[in-house]
Amino acid sequence: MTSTASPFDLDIDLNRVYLEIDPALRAAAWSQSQHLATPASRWRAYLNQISLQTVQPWLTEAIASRAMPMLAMPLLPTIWEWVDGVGVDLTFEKGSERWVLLPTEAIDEDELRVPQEWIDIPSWVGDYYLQVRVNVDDGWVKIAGLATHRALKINGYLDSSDRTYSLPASDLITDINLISLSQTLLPAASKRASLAESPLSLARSMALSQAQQLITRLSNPELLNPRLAVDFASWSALMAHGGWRRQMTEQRWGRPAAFSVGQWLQSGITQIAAQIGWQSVSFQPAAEGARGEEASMATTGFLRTVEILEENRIENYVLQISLLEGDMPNAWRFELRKLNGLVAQGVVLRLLSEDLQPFENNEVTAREPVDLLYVDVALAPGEGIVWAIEPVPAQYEPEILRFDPLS
Amino acid sequence: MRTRQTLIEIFSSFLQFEGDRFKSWHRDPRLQRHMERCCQASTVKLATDEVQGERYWALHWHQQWSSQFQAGSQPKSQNQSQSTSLSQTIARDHLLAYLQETCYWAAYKVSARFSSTQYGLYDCFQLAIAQFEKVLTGFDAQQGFDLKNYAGATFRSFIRDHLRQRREVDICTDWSLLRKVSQKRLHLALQNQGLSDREIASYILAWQAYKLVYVPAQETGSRQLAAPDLSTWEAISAQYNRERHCLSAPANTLIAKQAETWMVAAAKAVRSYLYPSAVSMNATRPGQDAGEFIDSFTDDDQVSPLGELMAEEAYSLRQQQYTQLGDILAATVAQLEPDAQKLIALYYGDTLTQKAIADQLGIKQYAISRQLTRIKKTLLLALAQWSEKTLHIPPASDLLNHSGLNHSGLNHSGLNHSGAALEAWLTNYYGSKI
Repeated sequence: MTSTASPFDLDIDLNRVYLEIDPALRAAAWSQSQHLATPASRWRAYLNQISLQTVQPWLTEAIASRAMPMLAMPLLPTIWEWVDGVGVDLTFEKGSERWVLLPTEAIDEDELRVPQEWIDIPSWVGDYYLQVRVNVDDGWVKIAGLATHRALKINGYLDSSDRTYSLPASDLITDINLISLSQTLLPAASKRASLAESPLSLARSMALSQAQQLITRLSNPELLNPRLAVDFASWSALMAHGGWRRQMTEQRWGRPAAFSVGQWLQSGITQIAAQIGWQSVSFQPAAEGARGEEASMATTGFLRTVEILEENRIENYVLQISLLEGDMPNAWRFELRKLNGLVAQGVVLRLLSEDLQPFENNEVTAREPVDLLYVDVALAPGEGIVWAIEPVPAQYEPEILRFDPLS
Repeated sequence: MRTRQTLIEIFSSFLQFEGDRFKSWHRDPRLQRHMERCCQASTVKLATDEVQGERYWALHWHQQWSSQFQAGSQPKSQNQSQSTSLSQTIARDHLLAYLQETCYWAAYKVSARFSSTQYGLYDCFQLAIAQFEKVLTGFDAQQGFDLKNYAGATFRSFIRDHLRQRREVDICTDWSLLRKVSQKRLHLALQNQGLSDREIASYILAWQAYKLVYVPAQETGSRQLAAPDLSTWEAISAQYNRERHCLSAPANTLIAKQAETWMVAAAKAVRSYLYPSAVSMNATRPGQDAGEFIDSFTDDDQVSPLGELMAEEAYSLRQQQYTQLGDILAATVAQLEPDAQKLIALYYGDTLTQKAIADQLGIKQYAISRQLTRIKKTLLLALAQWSEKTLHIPPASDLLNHSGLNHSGLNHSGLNHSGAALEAWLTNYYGSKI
């Protein structure tokens, strides 16, 4: 009977990679996708999560020493609500690369189609793009072919009607062996074509008021294909800005804002914020200021660890925010220190307004190894703050923290 | 099957089937005459050697066939380019004749393992031989591999891929199939039905709306989607109408009924385009209906002594490389872990399927294929290092081609096809006959 036949009655060509989908993983992917806004986005999240969680272990087994999705798992649905694909950041002995996984159900495997976002948003760009054939019914995933950013950008065809770049199967690399070899053999060949704009400049081009308007319009779940409902420049600015994208996603899902520090103070950290590493902390005020009665007053704050790559070594840093006691209401301190040791020279802690604008005294740089870096900021009601660190931490994207005054 | 005896026969005759069985070798008089003339005119000793000659002529014709691509960028007069394409066509046809047997055995091997009432030996042969051009394009004589081995591995891989796809398509309902076709394939299928570009653009927009609206509502069963109901068609046409302003040519409002009609037609087009009932590809071989070609031969089409001399040198160099390469690979194999050696010997030597090996060793087939892949990677690395040192081919050259630094339509040289070529070498090395 054909329906019980497996593709593996026939030998697998050894230069192809087939991976088995763990049924438990598939079931989890299904239930986790159910809160997305439309049937299409639920199915998209389902396929993307299966593709990621099946391919990721193989990447660490066969290709790289470490493979991490570009964002923490719980944040990925904020991409899949809008568009297909996920970037995976790989670490090699020498250097690192991003591979973008693009699930497809097409039996014919005739082409690799890549949404424009993955090619033209600078902070999303990958080195390789993998066509991942997902067969949920038979329970396997196949790496059908791959191409570099350069090949897609230069030789690919940009279809303006659905904003995708595509390359025919004949232009794809199908022998996966070559790719893993290329890591040892290829002299840092340029796999990326150049892009005109940098991520921040893209988003900066949009004013806060315009962003808010678009977010309200595009988050309407009646709109089945929002990515085509506005010009690409505006759309990509919204997608690239993690804070705006999360806000737009929350509105589409009808959920309250998850990154409101004011709310965290009142009712505890939201689940999603906790999942990506935020935790509350009680601590004594800093030692030098600790005299007399003040020392007994515990302050509440929040912290999360961030991973920063120093000389190809992953180092853990702690980003901490705490309410400043004093004359100014709603004043906060952002503080960065290394978990073990000193903050390395050249590390920058920077705060930006919600639309990624700098302001006076918004950043501090370690001129030499120091204990900690901090920036204080006083906020107007409803104002949001984006933190940034250089070098860019793993799984970073702009995140808007709101500090609504306590009632 | 009777094997062909003479060089002339090997490079000028085609398989005839009777049902699913070998019937006879059909001689193409044009190719036969051409081959005879070339053998007579040849001053190369090898060229008439019954054992060595086969490889010599295979490389010779492949070189002749590919020479046009190498010179392709240079401007040519009308006349020259015509004569090149004629000699190229003849070279191609000789190779098509040459690889008949290889294709037959590839089809035999796969069809014997694939229990299907739909696909017999003959069908598999047709599927594979239709991909013949890809074998020629993919083969890189520089690497020193054998064309026949390479073709065998490639043919087998084509047949297996096709059968796998075909089986999936057969399981799918029309409504599922529409969700499991690439836009490129759909476009080709609609074009094949004679639709205009404008109509195709409208169909594709409707198809995109269909995929957006009609989504599986369960974890599995994506191949068994039933027909959408009226409200679904209404949602699809509404989505189409919202986006039809994006079409380059103005389009009318789509109503639900019409959306359904379009998608039914699209599914039908895909099904018939995806996997047409086997047509006799071998029938496209030249000879019978190309009488004007036969008479248009001139002596120019024969190899000139000078060209042959170079070919002979090149040939012996290739032979040398092939031997060296074999030594390198054999040495690398000998250094593998005993388990790894056992596994490849089992796979390539005893011609067990991966599934059979998996059953025997009590592990999943995925694991087997992955272990085999890892072994092959080791060999490929040795091969890459060797070719970099000996042939001065930077191992990355082809990857760079693909990355767009040096993109050409042809996949010449480099590593990209080493995988298949290595597969061919292993098959040969472990002496699996078919």
